[in-house]
Amino acid sequence: MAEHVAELIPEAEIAEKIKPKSFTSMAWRSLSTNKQAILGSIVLSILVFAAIFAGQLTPYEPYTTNYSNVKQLPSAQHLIGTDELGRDGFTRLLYGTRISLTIGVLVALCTMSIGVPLGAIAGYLGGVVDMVIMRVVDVLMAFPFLVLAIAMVAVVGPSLVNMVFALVMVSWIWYTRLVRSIVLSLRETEYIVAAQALGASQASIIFRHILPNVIPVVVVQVSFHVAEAILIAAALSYLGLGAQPPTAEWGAMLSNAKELMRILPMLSIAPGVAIMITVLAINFIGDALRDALDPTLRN
Amino acid sequence: MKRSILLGFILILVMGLALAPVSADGHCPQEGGTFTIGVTNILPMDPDTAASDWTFYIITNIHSMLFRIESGQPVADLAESWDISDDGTVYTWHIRPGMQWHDGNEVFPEGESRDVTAHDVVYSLYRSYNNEASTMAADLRNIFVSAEAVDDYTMVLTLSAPDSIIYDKARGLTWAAIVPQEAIELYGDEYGLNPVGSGPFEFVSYSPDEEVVLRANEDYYIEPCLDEVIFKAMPDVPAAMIALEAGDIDWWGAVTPGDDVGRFQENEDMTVINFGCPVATRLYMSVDKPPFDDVNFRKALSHMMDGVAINAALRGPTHVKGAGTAGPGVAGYVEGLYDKYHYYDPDLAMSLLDDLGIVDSDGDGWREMEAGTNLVLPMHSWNSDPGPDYVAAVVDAGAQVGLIIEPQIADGATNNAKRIAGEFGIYLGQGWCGEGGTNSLWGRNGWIDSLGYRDEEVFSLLDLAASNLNEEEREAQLMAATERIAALYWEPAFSFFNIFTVKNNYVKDFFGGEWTLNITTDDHNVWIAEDER
Repeated sequence: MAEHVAELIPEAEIAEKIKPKSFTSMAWRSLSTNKQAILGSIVLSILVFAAIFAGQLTPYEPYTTNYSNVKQLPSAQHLIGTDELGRDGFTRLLYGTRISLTIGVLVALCTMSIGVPLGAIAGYLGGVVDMVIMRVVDVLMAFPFLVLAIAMVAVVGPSLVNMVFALVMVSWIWYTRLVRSIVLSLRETEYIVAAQALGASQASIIFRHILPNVIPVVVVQVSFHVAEAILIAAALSYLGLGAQPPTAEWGAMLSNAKELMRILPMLSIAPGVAIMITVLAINFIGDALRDALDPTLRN
Repeated sequence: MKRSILLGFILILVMGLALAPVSADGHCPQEGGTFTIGVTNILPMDPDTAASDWTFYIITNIHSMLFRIESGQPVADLAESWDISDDGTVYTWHIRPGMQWHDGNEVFPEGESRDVTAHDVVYSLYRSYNNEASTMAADLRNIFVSAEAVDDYTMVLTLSAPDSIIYDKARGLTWAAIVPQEAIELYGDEYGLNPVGSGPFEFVSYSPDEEVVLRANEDYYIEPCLDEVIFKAMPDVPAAMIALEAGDIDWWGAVTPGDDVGRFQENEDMTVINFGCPVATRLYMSVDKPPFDDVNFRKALSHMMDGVAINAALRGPTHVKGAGTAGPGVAGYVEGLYDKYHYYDPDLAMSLLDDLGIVDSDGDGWREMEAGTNLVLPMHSWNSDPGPDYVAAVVDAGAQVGLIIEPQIADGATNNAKRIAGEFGIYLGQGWCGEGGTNSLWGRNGWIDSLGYRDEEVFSLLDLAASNLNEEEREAQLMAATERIAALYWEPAFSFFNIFTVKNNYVKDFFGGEWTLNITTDDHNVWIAEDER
């Protein structure tokens, strides 16, 4: 039977078929065939393009007032109208992309860089170190996330920087818990035991052998966290605790536009839709990343 | 047959009349119902500390006032009448007999109330006078000599000089809500959470940031037509406007946004009421600190922004061009003050800054006071609309002349604390209508004294005006004070706006609020036409 098959399929082709594929290539193949990921990537690319080239995409300035042009209805000159200070709504929306995306990425990266090492250290070292870190995590998790963020901003004062600081301070715990749970199982694996037997230092084991194996899970977490940070930052700014006037941030723009909801609804709708589209696009990418990076979910 | 039809008609008429709601004394076309009032915020209701127009609306219905203000004139309340000595320094108040404190509370259990007397009035006045942080106006405090109860129903107030603005809004005895000593002793600092008065409505409950419920005081000398008055705190003004149109609130008693005023004026089911005192929006500065201590820097700030255009954009049809504290129609208003001192001229602003050596030496687009360090001016503002919009406008105006203006937006209490501490920066301010307002703001120990606004000439002019019973002379003194303030401080001005409140037309016999909110008085007894809702 085996000889019969060999006659039908060329040897080279069989070799190609049974050749082991790398983790990266399999993940890439999964991502590149995922329709959600493609859609999300296209939308995100447009948003990033808009954020980078906002200045070239509009003839107006986001903060320059024009009192002879206030509360204009949407038109070819002002796609979503102008606000009560005569600023072009679409221009502010474009510049808002820059701020919102930056906040999302900054919060996620800062949070990751605190939470991941702490989780790895707690998980690998265990004992007192683990207990101390995890009790801090438990205490922070006992507070509702948004309430804690609001309280922190209230203490340090409302501003964009303080909001990012507050979001980082209250959300690193998610990474710590996640990474610790993974490390707890990884540290019992044979290659870690082997590294220990060969005399590798604890730092070397954590950073060279454990963390690389945590990265796929963290990458997925980061992608979701970017979306969540954008949403929460918008909520805080809406409440007046984040971006301060005249900063063109989507949440702040929503808050400002509510006064004009009756006469210029587009000024409210557009930032809301922008937040929704951005979060949706990032979540699509996050979902696809999770499917691609988790072997148990891959087809 | 005809007779039976006629009899039937008469019977129906008699039954209809019998069923029609008529009050005991016959002055309420419809009795009962709840009058729901929307305001932006509600503070604890202690008249000594509640520096809030809207909270005073509640206070003036729980408490009897010595007198009330109606259409700018004093009308009787707890004092049935009063006499003034020829020299204007001795006021003899005749207290209405038979007024009772509300009962059925911790202070006065049901049926155990007592009469309100002249001694209570004396106690209330001294309570305010002895508390330097109280709402008693500084200039009244300065001329207060004594308050004495001659008998249970006569109180004599002696001043060291005549008080020409004793009935003025926002100051004077208009604030004098009469409180019972027993309640103050029982509740102490928490009196504002458990107010007890002798006014037309009794306190029922207070949910902070939500509502205050009052019910009719059946023992009041006039029986209120309403059963209940509810004050709702509605900081989200757009939501409040929707609630007003939906009939969820019957009267919006706070400032109505300009865009909504026009809409409500066209709505035949609504009445727009002018509060009757244009209010200015302006900037204060910590004038005792550099660079604000230099008059040319203040001039530069005044000329860098187009105050009239900003105000017109943000206030819409409620905007009124002008500068100073007293608006058009108010004693002390100076016509042309805006064009003389506060006109928009960014080139002049830049030139003044250059002359002061506040220049952009490193070419980054921002001016520096010391080489290498950009000059950053914090701008403190309240966080409700349109405060943040004014901030955005000033930030942009600053950017146009190379000044970094850094927004510091916070709640009213935080802002007040910064002002009292004299923190460095620019402060957004609004309010203080009327000539009493001018005195309370710019006068000795006035509202902005902590920021360094102290000028003996201004104090002297305002003191003279406050005790001058000659209207013409007083007007001249107030105008001179206004002009002096403008020339000395150059406080950047945005102009005035009219305060419009809006009521649903099914609210009857209601003329709107002034400093006192008169729901049940000799001249008005508000009622709700439930069938018109």
